[in-house]
Amino acid sequence: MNRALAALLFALVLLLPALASAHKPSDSYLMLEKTKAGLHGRWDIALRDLEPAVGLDANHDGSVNWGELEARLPVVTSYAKARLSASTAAGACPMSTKPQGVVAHSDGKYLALSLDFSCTGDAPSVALVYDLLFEIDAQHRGVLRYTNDGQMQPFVFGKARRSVTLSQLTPRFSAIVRLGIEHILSGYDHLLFLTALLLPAVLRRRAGIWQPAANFRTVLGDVLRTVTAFTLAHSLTLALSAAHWLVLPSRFIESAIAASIVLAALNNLFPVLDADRSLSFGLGLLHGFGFAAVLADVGLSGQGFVRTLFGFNLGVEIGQLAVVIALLPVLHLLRRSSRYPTWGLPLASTAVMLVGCVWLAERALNLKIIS
Amino acid sequence: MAFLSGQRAWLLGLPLLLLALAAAVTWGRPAAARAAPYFPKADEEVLETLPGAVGNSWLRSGAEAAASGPVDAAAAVTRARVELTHYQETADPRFLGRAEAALGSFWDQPAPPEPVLVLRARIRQSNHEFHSALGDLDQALLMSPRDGQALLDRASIQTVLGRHDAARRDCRALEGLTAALYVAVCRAAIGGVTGSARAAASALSRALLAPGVERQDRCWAESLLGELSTRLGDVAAAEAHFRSVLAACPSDAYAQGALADLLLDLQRNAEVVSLLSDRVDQDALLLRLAIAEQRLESAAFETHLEALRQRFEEAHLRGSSLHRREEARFELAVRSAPERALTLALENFQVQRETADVRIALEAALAAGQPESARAVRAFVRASGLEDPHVSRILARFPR
Repeated sequence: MNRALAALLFALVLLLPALASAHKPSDSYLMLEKTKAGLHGRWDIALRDLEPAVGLDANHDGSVNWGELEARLPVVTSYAKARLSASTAAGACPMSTKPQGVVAHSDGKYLALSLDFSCTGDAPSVALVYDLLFEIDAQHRGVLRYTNDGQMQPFVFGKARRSVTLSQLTPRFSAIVRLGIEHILSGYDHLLFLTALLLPAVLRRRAGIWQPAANFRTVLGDVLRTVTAFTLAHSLTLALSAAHWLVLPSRFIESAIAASIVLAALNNLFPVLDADRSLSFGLGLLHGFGFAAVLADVGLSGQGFVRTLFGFNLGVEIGQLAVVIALLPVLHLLRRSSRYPTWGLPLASTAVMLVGCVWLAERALNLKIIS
Repeated sequence: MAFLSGQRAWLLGLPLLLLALAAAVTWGRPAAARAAPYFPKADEEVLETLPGAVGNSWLRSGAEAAASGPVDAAAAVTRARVELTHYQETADPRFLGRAEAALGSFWDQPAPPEPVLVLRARIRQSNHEFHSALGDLDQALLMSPRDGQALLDRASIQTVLGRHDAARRDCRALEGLTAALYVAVCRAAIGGVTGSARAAASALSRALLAPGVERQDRCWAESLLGELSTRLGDVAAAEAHFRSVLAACPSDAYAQGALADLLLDLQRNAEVVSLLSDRVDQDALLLRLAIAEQRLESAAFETHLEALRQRFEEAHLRGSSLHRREEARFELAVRSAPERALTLALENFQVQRETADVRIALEAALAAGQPESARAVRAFVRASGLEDPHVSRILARFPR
């Protein structure tokens, strides 16, 4: 093919109209987070909505290309800027905004604008007033996601709801700790893994068979080492993952956590690894990624990162400790049972392994076996 | 015991190795799946296609007029009617918001002029605010009891709400106030859901024989005929009606949806794909396309599944529950989540009671293993005398 023809074809491809977009009501998307200086974030406004407001299609050919949009960026930016404002009790927060390019949402391309409000003083709250497009489209909505130190506050601006008061206060430390406790107590996979690790804690392996541990003090020591290794491991990966330094796909993590339960239970039946430390450390690494998913749902922001991470982790450890304390008397009783090494441990481990297998199949293959 | 006991140390390395591998694959990718903004490289890159049938000069003029300040009721009604027509042609909900904006300050008045009331009711009905729409029409009909448009609209809302007696009264009052075809459509719509589909179909066929029926009206009436044939179990006639509508009105979303449902029920999935592959702009049609693609294990399914998931999520973000029926069907048919589908379908049944609403609620109740939760739905079917082969088939599977 000759080069001129190829260039022409390429140009034609660029000129093709964008893929048919969805029909959707008019929404703009505001993502804001609290910073030391005020508010920072991004504002996405549909080109489809900007066209009737400021006019983008200069050559009236029924489509908007980048050249046309670029030429109107100053007008568009000042149009948007005049329709959003923030203020505290100390007065208005000056706003600066800059185009960040275009971004796709489900119904087509949007213009992305950066937002920075500098609010003076240490006011407990900031008021945000939104007045975009209502005179053109009365069903227009401004969808706001405001993040303040790990806590997300959603709001929807509408024709009849044009202002919102955002709390500038950071959430109480105790609320973050409680989130950690709730997560570990409702996370059955983490608890089952811990249980699998602790089941043999009352036994000692001598000459290839399980024997009861000499006394309860050594049991306590074993439990302590297991829990410490697990804690160190998941704290490490939780921090790495929460800081976005190491991010793994959630389906992989969920499946790997299920696999870790199977492995831990298998190791009780056919011991190869030292359950109290190496196993709980190695596999515990996986569980930290699972915890991080919860923090990501809350929206962990840059500010107060260490505080939130520490609080959440503390909550996880408190919850875990509560479970261990509840297990200790049971373990104490089991140590004295002569049938525990021959029957109790294999049966319990098999049961745990089966549950782990079901979870593994569900998560790896995206099935639903037990609801 | 040593921390790493001898040759077994490699076993500890296994999860670490897995982690390292997975990290290498995902390193550097943003945590959130949300797309990042970019600056296009070429000026010619087309970013957005404006609604073609309408033209952008019109888009802008409407906005300029809206910004130019107060107008009289007649001018506002004229502009709102134009926007509403575009909505009916394109099913693009942005035109509904523009119609509402065109009514300006009249929209918020408790007692605006009668034509404003009728238009406001239309817009509210399209936003599924059925009760406030009824209020507007009641008020309009008190002011001018012989307004055929208002009566017809009120009858159609009453039908959607399952208040069949009230709808029948409005159809009766319509006699002589509007074209005979409209009266026939009004009656057939109610007859179809209250046990006299056959009589309704023959009366409507007769009315369609009258000369001078406009294209849009013919499409509307014949879609209803197709629906009545489906109810009567005459699949071939139903398909012929829907195909004839689509020959005259090719972008009629209602007929496309009805034909797609018919084909899906017959497992003619490939035909659904060719019918709807260019209608991904409409959530309701995209849903039917995705169901067909899932059954065919088509490669396009994953993309369309993700698109649907995103659209329902965006609807939730803005606080809209407009598409509960579609979402219930999505959860049941595509995502195999019957409990979630049942919750949505029962919520939807509180608002809308058309045959599709009844069907999804019954199907979800059975699939979720909670047949007792659909007691009110079954009572509604019994009381109305609803005929529909699919509904009967589903009802037969309920425990006695």
